[in-house]
Amino acid sequence: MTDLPGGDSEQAARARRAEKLHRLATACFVGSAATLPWGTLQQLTSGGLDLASLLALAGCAFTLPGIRADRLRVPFELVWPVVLLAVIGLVPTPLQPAGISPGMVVVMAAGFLGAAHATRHAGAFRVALACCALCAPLPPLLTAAVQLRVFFPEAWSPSGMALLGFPDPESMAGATLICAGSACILAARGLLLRNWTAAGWLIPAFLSAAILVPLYLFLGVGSAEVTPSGAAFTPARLPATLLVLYLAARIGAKLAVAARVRRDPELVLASLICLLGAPVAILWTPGPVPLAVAAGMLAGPAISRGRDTACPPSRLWRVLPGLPVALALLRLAVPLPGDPRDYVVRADILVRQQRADEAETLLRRVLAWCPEESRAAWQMAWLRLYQDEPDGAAYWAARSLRQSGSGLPPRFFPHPGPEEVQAFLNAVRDSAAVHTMEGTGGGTMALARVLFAAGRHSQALALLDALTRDEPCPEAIPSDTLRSLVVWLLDISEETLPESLPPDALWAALRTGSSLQILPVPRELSGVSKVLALAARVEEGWTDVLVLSGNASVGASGRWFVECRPAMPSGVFAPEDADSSQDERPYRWAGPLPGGSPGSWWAYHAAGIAVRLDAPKIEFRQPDVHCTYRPQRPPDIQLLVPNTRDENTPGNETGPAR
Amino acid sequence: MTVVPAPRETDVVQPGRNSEVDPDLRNRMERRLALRFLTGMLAACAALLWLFYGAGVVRLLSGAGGMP
Repeated sequence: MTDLPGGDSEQAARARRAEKLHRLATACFVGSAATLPWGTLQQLTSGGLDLASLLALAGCAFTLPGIRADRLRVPFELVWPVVLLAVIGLVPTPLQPAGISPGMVVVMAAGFLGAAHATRHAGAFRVALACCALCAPLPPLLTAAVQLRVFFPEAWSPSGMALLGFPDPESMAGATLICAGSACILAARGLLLRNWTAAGWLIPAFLSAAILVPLYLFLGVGSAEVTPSGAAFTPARLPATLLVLYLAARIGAKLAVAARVRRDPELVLASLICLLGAPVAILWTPGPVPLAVAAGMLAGPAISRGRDTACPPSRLWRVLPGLPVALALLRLAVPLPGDPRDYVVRADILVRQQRADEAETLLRRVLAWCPEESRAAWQMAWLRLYQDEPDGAAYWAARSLRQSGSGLPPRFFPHPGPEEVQAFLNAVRDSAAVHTMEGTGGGTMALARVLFAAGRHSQALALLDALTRDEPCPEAIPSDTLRSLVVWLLDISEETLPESLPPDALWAALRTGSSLQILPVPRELSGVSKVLALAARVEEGWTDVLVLSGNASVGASGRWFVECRPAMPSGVFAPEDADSSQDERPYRWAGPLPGGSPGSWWAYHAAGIAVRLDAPKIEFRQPDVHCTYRPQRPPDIQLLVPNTRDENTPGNETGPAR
Repeated sequence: MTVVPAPRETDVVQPGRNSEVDPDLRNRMERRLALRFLTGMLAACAALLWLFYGAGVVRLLSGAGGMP
């Protein structure tokens, strides 16, 4: 044997290094394509980076030395559609597809070209296909588990179906179809080669179907949820769709011709997968990055026409697909940073993107699915504070703190801690200070409400006691009525408010925390009716109502669910100030209701509470909140006081005001 | 004298003897096949959408709005 010259050994070392990088690149692409069934559980950061993208980028990085040394071994007819697709995805035009970030577009294009350059062995694609096929039951299994409340969901469909692993039911169905289809194709390939054990590949496909059927039959998931929306064929997205289909057709044709040239059934299988998978990927759009890498891995053998390169199959191909499995299992067991179920981070991102409505929808979905999740209510409180609605913030904070104190364990995130409560109190205090400086007065009672909810009763009472008493309490209003109204306003129990609090302080609290109106009782009823208080606070879907006659509650207190919001009756209930805007127009009671008996008197609240004042009894009619009544405004309190004003005041007319 | 017939496009591959195909011919075959595949995939998508939405697909493709 003779020693190799120095130059040759250097060349051999370089070749070995290139081969090693080549193997690593192929392994990365196999791992990236194998993440398809795991969906968003592969997410690494809340910014959108997932394992599929990371592996695809790593594969591209390992491919780069080879490209620099030689060239990009991808034919022009496969490069130009990818470049055009990337341009469509990156340049902000009406053709830009929604929901795909520029970063994802770059990763998809690079992943496709890198995989097409590096993968020359059909076996690599078969390993990725087998990984997807084995995981075929996974998407429906995760969905079923979430429906059965085994796991916390990450998203909800428009109709309220909880999802995990996929942001919408459409992509879940797409991933299931592709994975189950892969299993069927692998089984068919084995059976055609008379390998009867290949029939085992049908088990995952059957399992998927077996999970999907009860999901639709018993767990209330409608089949309409998983039908494709056809968004890919809308005029704006049609160019990109046609380019993708053209690319798939070219790869499929290359594979078919290569199969004919090489007489290789493996390439027929790959062509079949390409042609069947492309329409599914277009219509159901599951996992864009893994599919782009898989398409590149299909294009590789098509370009090389089935010839195996010098690079033999690597053990890494079989090891790297285990990475997504491990990551997903870890995610399901422990909430890690970047978890797709982290609704707090997602809501924060949405708020920063000026999409507060979507953040609110997300938090409301969480609360509807899991009412004991106090963190969602806490985030709602912060959202309301961000929207400069301290009363709404106080409501949600009180609700969250009530849930925390209920003793029920949280479902996903821990209850707010003392430091967080203090931070929120500081923020509400700042908001109240700003409102006080502006002279609006909002926020002070919100602060008192949060202080009570947080158990800091002494601070809350000190705050109430320190309110500016610029107007003495009218003598005609009994202190019991005042106390009941303040208790209702702060949403606390009667025992929490001490008897020692003077009526003037209670009166100041009522004036600060509500839109208070004092109206006279009609002359005819002044001897019959006592002080009547009508209080309403409109929440989502219900009205919090309190009707007091003297110091007794009339059978109306509590929450009344309001199904419809009719327009305010026109002409009968006269606006107090005709110049005020339509939304802000305050209404007051004015006499008999339209259609009612002429002798009946009704006290009418702007929220639609009607109380009949016929002697000797007072009757309540359930509220119907009018369209003009906005939620989240300060509670409206109307006090009907007998003989407090001149009998010629406008509200004391005998007939309806016109 | 043995007459050798002119090779057809589909007969150009003869394993063992002619493993490489004329690149132009191969490209022509690929293009022709790709056109068929593209047509087939578009037809499959249209058929699936028609299956799910019926005549509403026409409204979608005409740009009159979202899916019914």
